[in-house]
Amino acid sequence: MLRIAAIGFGVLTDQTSKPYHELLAFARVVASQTGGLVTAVWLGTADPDAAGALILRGADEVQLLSIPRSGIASAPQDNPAEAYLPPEHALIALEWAATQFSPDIMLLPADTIGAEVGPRLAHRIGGGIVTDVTGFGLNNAGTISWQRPIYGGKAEAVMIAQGKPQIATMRARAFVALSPDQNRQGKIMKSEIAENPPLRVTLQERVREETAGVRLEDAKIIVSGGRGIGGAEGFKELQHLADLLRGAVGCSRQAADAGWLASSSMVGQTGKIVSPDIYIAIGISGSSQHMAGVKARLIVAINNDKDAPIFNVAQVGVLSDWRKIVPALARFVQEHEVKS
Amino acid sequence: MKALVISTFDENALEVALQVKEATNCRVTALTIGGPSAVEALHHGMAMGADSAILISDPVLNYSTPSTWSEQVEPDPYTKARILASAVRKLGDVDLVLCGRQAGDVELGLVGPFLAEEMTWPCVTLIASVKVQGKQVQVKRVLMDGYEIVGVQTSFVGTVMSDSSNVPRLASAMKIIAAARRPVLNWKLLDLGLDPNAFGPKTWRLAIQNVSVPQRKERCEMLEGETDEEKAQKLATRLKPQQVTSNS
Repeated sequence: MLRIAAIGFGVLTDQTSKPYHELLAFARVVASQTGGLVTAVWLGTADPDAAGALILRGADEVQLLSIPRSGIASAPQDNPAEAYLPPEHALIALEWAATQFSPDIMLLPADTIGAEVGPRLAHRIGGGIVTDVTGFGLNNAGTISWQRPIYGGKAEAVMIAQGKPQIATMRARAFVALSPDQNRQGKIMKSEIAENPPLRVTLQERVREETAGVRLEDAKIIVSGGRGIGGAEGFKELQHLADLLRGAVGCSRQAADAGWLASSSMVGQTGKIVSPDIYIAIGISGSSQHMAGVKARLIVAINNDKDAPIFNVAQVGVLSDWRKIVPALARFVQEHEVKS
Repeated sequence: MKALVISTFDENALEVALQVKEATNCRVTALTIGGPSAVEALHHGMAMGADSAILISDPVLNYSTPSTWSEQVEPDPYTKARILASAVRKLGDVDLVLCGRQAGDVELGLVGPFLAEEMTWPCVTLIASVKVQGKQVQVKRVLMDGYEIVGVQTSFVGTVMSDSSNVPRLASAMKIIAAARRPVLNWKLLDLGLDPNAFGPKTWRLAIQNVSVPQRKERCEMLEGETDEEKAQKLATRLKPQQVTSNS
């Protein structure tokens, strides 16, 4: 039977576990095709209830790995964002896990830490790796393939990486978390990683740039601006509209690179991957790199260029100058709110 | 014949390197693996400010100018990292290797971390900017919810993320003309002390089996109106969450 390890990092609580539940959902897809066993391997610290929930969300068993002498061990449970797991410690722990459990498939999140540790792990242990995957395949000969977007989301590739274990980092939001199944049962095991090599890369400071209000990842409505907004001033109008809609403001890479909005607000392949109900793209040309970060039920485009590619991906479009549309839209939204 | 350009994040990496050069007076070498047409990208690098440029090129690496995506065949990231590591060793005395966070086409993001492992150097990913003080380097990393500053000693490998602090500088026409006349050093695998037979397509471990382009099913509904006022009003009615649910 194939052994599938779904790997997560940091401080596991009910609040932080959603992206990891999505990884477990992916692990179950792999397991259903291969008849494999899913081990949730959590690296860091874990709240007991949240660890138990991993079984209900798709894991067959849970391995909690702690690194007692790493900074992560003393991270405050109530403020998981402050927890710091040095990638070098994560790497040591995963090498240990690979030797100890000899998994056939290792799944990691394609986030800041997974995108560094996954490739380095693959190189160290001779694994075959594909990053940012969105799907899994198995042919009759038993060869594993991984699906992933390429060319900024313009195309889908199927890739085969030679090596064992097969390692894949999963793109955020590629799968939907499974609802908890109270009938599922499994063992929860704990291990300590004794090794603790001196760090060659040390954390000096960590600054959170999250703006006040609704988080982009949680927003039901996102008002997003691009190059067409023209400056930081214009984003204030977008913020006003977002506030009225109880949504959040995002931006394209061009707008972030120009410094109009913090890069933590950037949506796209190399920024945040968001899944609101409604995504309002304003003055955004709609490059495939940007759209790779948008998984919305409804995409609305406001643009004064009728040839902008955004109109090829939006369901609803307004061909006009956003400076005229947005203030009027804000007024109608406000009036509607007053009436209802 | 298509012209090759520098991959977008590699251009950010070069910008960071040039900022280090301005602060420390170091030398910057632009290094790439590719076919003959990659010379253009290296000339662009020198026009931006790189002191010298090296192209690693070898018939066994099978570089061709692809006419379609699916025909694109080039060495895999494992192979590229092994070759680049040999080149960095041959250069010698390298304090900092910077590369883009991922290629502009297949976007795997593997070569940088692999290269760090090949060199057994520290690895810092998603770099916005660096501050060098002797052997000690302060690195600003881009995170999803902000940034962090980490400390590391040279030599190390870094992968660079685009940031408002590393928007690639434009090369002036004069510099472009001057750079086009400057030589690009050409290294073959044998020059790196590598056996070409150990680097051919048969040894490549990562393959693209299939590429497909998703087809769009529905068309965009354009909201019409005599005035912007009217368009905005129509749009407002479409933003009610229940509207979305019933449509999807």
